[in-house]
Amino acid sequence: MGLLTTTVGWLPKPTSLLRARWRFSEGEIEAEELRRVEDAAMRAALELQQRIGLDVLVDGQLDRGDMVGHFAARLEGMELLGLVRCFGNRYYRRPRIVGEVRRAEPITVERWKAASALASRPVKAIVTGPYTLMDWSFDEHYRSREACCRALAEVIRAEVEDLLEAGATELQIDEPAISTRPEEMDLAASALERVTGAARGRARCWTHVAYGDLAPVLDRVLALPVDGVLLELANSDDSWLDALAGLPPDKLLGAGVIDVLDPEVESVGVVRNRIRAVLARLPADRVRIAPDSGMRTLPPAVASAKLEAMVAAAAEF
Amino acid sequence: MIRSFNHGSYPRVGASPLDQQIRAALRALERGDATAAEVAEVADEVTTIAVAEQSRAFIDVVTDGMVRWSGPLSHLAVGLEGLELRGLRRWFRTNFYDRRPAVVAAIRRRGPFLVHDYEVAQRVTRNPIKVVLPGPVTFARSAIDEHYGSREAVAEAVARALAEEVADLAAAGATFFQLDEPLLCLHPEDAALVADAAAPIFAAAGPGATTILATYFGDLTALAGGLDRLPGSHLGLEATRGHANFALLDRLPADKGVALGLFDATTTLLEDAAEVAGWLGPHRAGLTRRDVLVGPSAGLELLPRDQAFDKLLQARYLVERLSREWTWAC
Repeated sequence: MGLLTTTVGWLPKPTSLLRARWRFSEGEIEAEELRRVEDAAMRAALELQQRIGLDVLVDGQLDRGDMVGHFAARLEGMELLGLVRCFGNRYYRRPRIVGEVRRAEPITVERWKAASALASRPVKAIVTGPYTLMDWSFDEHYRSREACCRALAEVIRAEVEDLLEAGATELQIDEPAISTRPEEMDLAASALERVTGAARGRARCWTHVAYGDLAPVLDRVLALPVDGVLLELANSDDSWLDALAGLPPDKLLGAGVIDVLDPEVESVGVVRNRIRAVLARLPADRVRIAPDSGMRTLPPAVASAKLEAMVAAAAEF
Repeated sequence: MIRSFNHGSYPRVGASPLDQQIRAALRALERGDATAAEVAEVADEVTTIAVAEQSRAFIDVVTDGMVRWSGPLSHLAVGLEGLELRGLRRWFRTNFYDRRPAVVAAIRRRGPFLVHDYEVAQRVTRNPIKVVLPGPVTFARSAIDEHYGSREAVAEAVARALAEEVADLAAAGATFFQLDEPLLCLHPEDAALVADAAAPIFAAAGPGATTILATYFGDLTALAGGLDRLPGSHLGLEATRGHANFALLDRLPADKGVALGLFDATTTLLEDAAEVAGWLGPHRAGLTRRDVLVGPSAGLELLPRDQAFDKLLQARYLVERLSREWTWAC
């Protein structure tokens, strides 16, 4: 039977889509043409995941530039500024909050519905969490991190309600910024609760955190108000593994066993060993297998090969 | 005397495709469509642009923009043997991530790794180029040590390598150096170690050089009684709106210059020069007796380029205003 597998959401954009996005930004093609290329890329991404044998699919977030800007560009009260580097040669357009944040219409629902219609397995709906949206924006309006975070929680809750209405049963609320300020964990958790509360009993809610110094807050992260926590374990030290014993008994672990920052494809044996280390601490029925984080910065062929190794290793258990 | 300065990095990409050439070049390198030499050429050009932009804001003491730096600590792996880069770690409370260095063998300098950038930058302006150096103690606290077994030994090894680099930079003409020790704000107990590590580095700069011990992302109030023990000709202090460090401005050692990070590099809210002059007003007597540098609170790469430029402009306006309105003893 094997362990169930999924991804964290982002899949690499094919060259055709990168080219179309560039041409669209330069005004060379219309939105309709970009949409056509995005649809084709999404179909291919779903086919790939099904061929590899992943259990819970994603649309690949191929219509998104980055996890914050995609929402900021579609929310009233937010505007996108220029590029800011987040690491290495990776950049994002950091938003600025200039007024009351409001959602004029659903942001991700149509895309999720389109992906679900094409898929033979469940497709996970993915949104960015309120704390991360707040922390990765420049707030010039609320001038209070709490007020800003709570306003964004209402917006994301409304989005989640629409996703549930559309039939989503697997939800992922990304909160990579959640470990930034340990003293704000209560705020982050209560904002997340406001979002996931809408889904309780209707869908399985995951959160994904990565790349911060999680050690001081790992116990709080594991206790966040979600059904499962996706953690990067391939690209972390063993102290995180040891902390997994603290995962509350009613929660699932999404174990990140693929290093998405390393372009070298892991062998099945390497992934198997990473999975074994997790299973030494948690029973198999509480573990799902995933990459550490989004795979969008990897070459498409490398991402595919990594996912193949992951699924093959997960099938051995 | 009061002068404006850039703290460290300057956004290496801007809004237009032309302003994203370093990004495109590095992507091409990843894909195998460009050579390292081609990327180096682009990096030189972007360094030139970064200096030109700072000069366009009439900043007195500029940097090379740190265009080649992959991160504030990971860049050391370019120049030093004995280091490996591991997973990403957040840089303080920013949304900037750097690969965490691991010390896996004895640290030795491979050869000059900052001199070329300094020379490229200095060709663009007659104003001094300030060279930014990662602090050995901040490095030692952040890195994974798999070789030395003590933080002190890691800091000492890094300091020795940086002292060699500074000697080469001084030989190339550099006279302005900034050693970044932001973790001193969170770990004031490291003050003596910071002083020990900085000593050979600043000594290598030679007599007459400006040597700034830069602290940021926090305050130094815990060291209020011992500021005279901190090394360098200047102490770098974050001093954004309402910052605790303002309490230190009247307690600085008499012979010490100060580099004030008044313009918050973590927010797009723009401080007005007149407003900032008001913050400094109560400390006028102490400030006008010393060499004062004013600028952003941290590297400007945390901001989009347009907003970064605006922060520099306000720093320049502040200098113009206080040069005119205050009488400076030096």
